[in-house]
Amino acid sequence: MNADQHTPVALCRTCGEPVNERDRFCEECGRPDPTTPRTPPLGTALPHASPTPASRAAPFAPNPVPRQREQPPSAPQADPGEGTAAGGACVDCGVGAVGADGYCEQCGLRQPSGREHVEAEAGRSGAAVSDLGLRRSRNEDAFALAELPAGVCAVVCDGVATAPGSEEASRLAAEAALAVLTGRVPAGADPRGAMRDAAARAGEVVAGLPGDPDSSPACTFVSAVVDAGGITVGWVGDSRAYWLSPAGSCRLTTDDSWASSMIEQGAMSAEEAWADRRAHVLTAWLGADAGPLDPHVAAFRPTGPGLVVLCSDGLWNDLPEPSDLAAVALTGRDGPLDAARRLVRAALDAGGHDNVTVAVLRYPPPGPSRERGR
Amino acid sequence: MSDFPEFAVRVDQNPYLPAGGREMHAIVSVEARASGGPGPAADGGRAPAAEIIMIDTSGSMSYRGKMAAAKRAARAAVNVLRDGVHFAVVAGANRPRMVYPQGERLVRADAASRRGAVDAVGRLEAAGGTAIGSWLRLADRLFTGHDAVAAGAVKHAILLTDGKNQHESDEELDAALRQCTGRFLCDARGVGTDWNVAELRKITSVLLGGFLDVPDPADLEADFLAMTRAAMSKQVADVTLRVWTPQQARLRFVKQMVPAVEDLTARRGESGPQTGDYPLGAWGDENREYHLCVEVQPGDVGRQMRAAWVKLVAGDQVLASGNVIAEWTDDEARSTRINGRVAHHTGQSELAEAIQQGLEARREGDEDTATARLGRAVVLAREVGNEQISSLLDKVVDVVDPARGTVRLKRDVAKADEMSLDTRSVRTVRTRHGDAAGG
Ligand SMILES: [Zn+2]
Ligand SMILES: [Zn+2]
Repeated sequence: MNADQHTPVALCRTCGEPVNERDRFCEECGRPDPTTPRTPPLGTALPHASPTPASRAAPFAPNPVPRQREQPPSAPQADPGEGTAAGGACVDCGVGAVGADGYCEQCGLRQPSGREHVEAEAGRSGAAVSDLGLRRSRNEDAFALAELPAGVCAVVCDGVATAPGSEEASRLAAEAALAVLTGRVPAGADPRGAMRDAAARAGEVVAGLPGDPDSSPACTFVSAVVDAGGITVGWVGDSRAYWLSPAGSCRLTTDDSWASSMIEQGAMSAEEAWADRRAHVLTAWLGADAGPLDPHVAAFRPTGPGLVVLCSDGLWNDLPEPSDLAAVALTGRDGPLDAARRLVRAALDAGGHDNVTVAVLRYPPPGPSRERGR
Repeated sequence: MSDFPEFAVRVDQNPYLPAGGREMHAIVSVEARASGGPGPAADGGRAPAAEIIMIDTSGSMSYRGKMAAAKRAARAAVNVLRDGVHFAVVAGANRPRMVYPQGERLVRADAASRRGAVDAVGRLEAAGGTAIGSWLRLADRLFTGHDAVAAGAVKHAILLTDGKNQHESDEELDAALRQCTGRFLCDARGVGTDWNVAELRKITSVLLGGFLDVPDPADLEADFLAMTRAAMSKQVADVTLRVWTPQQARLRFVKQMVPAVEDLTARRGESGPQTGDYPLGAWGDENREYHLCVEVQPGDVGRQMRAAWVKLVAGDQVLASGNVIAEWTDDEARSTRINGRVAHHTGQSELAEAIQQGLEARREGDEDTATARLGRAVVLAREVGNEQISSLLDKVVDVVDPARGTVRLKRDVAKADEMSLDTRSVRTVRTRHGDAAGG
């Protein structure tokens, strides 16, 4: 995102021109991630990772929830090769101290929160990637995922950008829902019931956040439980779930949005509805002003192997068709993390106008992952 | 020490700038509410106060009932001084003279001292000239003598005059103002039509007060009551607007917009790294609004910057604070949006300027400039919804086309109407927060 004139300069791996460490594209030849090897070895340098050590340390930690700004910036596993000054100095001017609210006390620029780029894996059965995108100043998307004894579950939430506090809302909602799923499903609960409880709990947490009565913190919600018995998805709002498989791909959710309800009522054609400026207005969400919560829950049992993709609208805005997503996600015989990274990259290449978050879960789950690794 | 009222800061702005954009405007609204709850019952919240009432007793005051009206007004003001306030009444002519008490000191208000002051005011007679600087110097001596008794008190003076400052030089007045700056606050009233608008504007601007014309002496009493009550209701003596800006940023201006337009830019005192202080005087249960314009170094699209950090400070206590944000975007719909309150206050600043320039040109006989500027004022007054100014403009110009600002200067304009328009050019109309979405 071309943000830091002051970060150390590196050379583009394709054309050799100088580029900033954090540049997403080489200005000379246009190569994405110009300072990163084309196929990043897993567990070492991440492509376009956030420069704050906190997020660097986070991606492969057992708890995949993105870390917060309040955490000490000098996490023990911080990559020493990082371009960031230690001790909370500004990543932009390199001199100013960063205040508790994230602004540099000297140059005034708001510092990366640690959520600019976050990655996580749940064993071999799932992975998720969340990225700020190219045009936003903060990442209000969040995800949480975890392995289950017989499968995997994930949650993706997208904070409503116009409501202050939504950055926090999405993070807390994802965490709360995941806690319900990881508590109930292994104990033998029906995934559909657990999903409803998870959405309800996430809704309670968001509704309880302090906020302006006119615009309380809010977020969307989509989650999935994948086990040998099939796929269960739950959602509120316009974050989506897709099923991608070589045998055929489809969308698993319907948006709670203005466009969606116009099309459903037959009031407009899909083209007309999506062209309207109200298209993306949500008709349901999590938040104090959302009214009674009625999460959608659906279950599927695929006939063959494939991937479940949960995503915020930052992905599907640019790649709405299941076939588009399948073409990106199903190339190569690599793991869910690679697929998630490719999907995020595709959204950034298409403009990256919004935050992008993708969780990729394998079906059927690859069995107990005691041995870990590839 | 009194309890401070609860201060709240609200910032209205469009934080979005286009790529490369530098100039950020914001309206900072400051609201204070008495901590003991609103209303006159909350006596405990008031700061200790000292009040000096200065009455012009020059010879001209004896005409058209001005002296009698001034006496009534001063008596009314004395009678609403609450117990415990230290006060004095001063008569101004070629020299200032203590009316009450006798010596050069302030006296504590109680039933007996109020009665004594009222009696003394009743014996005032008009004679002599006008030397306002010398009156202000006496007020300063009185307040300074009082500092030893009650540090941190709200020190407020009311100045009534009916004439120009003829019996001392401009330099003498300026020197007196320099001496009194930051020492006490002064509101002024001009009665009749022989006083000088620019002079009272200068005096009250330096002394962080307001001034108004009182064309009809009969209105003076109500006006003095309101001024004294307002002074009595102040709860914090010295409030400062502290503004931090990023390195390499430039604070282009800081203007008070409500209750009246007052450019504070030149009053900056450096108070720390990248931080300047603007003295605001005493504060009670009231709202004021400020227009800030900051020029920042552009950041990349998608980045966000704190373009200014605004704090209300009393002593070493931060009463409230707010952020002016800048965020660069390539979304034109966002970066081109104009905040309604920024637009409103920009219009009111321009309105005050257009009136003052128009009247100045008219006095100098430059009719073309006067017609153009006052025509522009007609348009702006309509735009910002300032009906009082619109009707005052109607007394100075004949409006041919109010939408385009086509006007003709009136041949005969009453002096009082011209002075009233000049005086009130800086008086603004408030915006409601809900208006932000509007024009
Ligand atoms: Zn290159
Ligand atoms: Zn900095």
